Amino acid sequence: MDVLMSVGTQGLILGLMSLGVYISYKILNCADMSADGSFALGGAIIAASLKSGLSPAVGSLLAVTAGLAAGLLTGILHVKVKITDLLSGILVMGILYSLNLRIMGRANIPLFDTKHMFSYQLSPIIIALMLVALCKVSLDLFLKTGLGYTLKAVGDNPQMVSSLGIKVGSIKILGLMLSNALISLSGSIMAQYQGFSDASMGIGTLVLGIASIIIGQTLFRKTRFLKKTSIILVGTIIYQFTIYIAMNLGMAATDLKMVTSVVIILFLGLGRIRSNGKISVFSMRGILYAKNS
Amino acid sequence: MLRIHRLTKSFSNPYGEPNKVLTNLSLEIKKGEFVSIIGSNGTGKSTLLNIISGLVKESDGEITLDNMRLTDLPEHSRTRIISRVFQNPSAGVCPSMTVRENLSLALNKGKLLNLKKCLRHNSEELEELLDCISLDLKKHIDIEVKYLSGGQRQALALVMASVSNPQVLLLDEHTAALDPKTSSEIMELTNHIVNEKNITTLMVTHNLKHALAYGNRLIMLHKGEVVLDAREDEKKSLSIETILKKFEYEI
Repeated sequence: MDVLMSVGTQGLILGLMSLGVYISYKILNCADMSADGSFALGGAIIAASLKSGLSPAVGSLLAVTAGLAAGLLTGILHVKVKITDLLSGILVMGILYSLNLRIMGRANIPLFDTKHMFSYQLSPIIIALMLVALCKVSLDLFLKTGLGYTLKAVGDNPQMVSSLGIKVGSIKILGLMLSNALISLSGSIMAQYQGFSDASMGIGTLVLGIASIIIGQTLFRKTRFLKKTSIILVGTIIYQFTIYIAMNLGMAATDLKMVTSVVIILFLGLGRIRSNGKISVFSMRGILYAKNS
Repeated sequence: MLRIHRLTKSFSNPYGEPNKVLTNLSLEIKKGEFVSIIGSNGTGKSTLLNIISGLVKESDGEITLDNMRLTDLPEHSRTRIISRVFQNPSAGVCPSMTVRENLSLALNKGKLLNLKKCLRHNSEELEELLDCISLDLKKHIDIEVKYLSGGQRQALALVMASVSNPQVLLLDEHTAALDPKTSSEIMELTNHIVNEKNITTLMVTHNLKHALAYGNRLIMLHKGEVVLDAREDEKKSLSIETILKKFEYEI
């Protein structure tokens, strides 16, 4: 039972990261590699803050702010300096790797004997659940506002957004900032949960986020009552359990990155084969829906 | 009044002489005028629309709308007063949003960047906007736009472009990608919207029938200059045959 709780808690914490990746990868339609750096950035900031005696809440806020700044940098490189989204992300990821080591002063800071957000009486899964619910509901509400719709429209048809008299670039930067802030927050909570911060803890973050999104969206493609953000959270948790089972079956922790990549390849590949068939389930549903209404 | 004054545009060419697309083009278009612009490929029709909308920077000359110098404004400020419908029906809509969401975006033009709820318009209000469309868009109000036909998407794009009451509407061969029947329907809708809202409209088209049947002024461009400018009665007396005969080499 303890193990299940622990996997569930991890899934919830990583769910915040997946929501961040969802903003860049799905909504803005750009693969933002700076996610890997931002996740470790959150860990680095919280470790440094807690060690210098700041409260976990202040530390988490600092982590969010640092994430916003990381996203701002990626956005400026992409929008203003006109470097492709992929390369901008990779460049920022490189910058953050060195910066994280600077912030921490060494590659690993243990937090076991430091007071952090999980050292209180409340069970970790409840704390994680409350935080994730807060972020998810806020994101849902935000996506319903004019600004939220503009963000979605930028990924969908930038030309149309610009014909609405809006600077597409600024909206993209805003999206990247929000995305990296969520990822950094997730990293900071993760560091506290696992009891240490490590400079390499961010490696594979983006890919993990994408895998969680794809799994959620593939498994729940037929459900209409679940919000996209809920589907992503559930996808992340399911994926954490899958990994847990894989490890119990004898896989080494070092195999996980490979497993994650293979899972993405399989899901994307199967989706492609399905849509190359006569009529994909997806478009068929659209046609039926259009005819019935 | 939209005033185009001595507008020149040349594109640089690595092989020698720069390519002059527009040369000292001057035009005055009155408020509410519906102008059809015809002419063969490469005569600068699209370049003219691109310069007005701010997508392309002019080489020389100026464009003013009433007392505002459009040529000084950046593209995103111009799009607040100028709307445009493109040839590609998908260019003017967001494919993975529903008709309702697309319309809400257009209704909120100029006041989107805030935290107010975007979908705050009720169904009747939105359906009213779709009233004049014969393409049954009303039934599909909660369907994602990517499942609609090209004609339905273009009708939606047209409604969205006009819903914010722009001062100038630019139509860039907006019926060229549609079948003849749908393209007539879109032209009827265009005519209805332009007349009802009294929007100054510039329509580039290769369809001479549409150019003659709709609007109250016809302009023909050739090599960046105006070779024919017919208004009201003069325009009514024109026929496809006379245009073809007179300007055979230019169309």
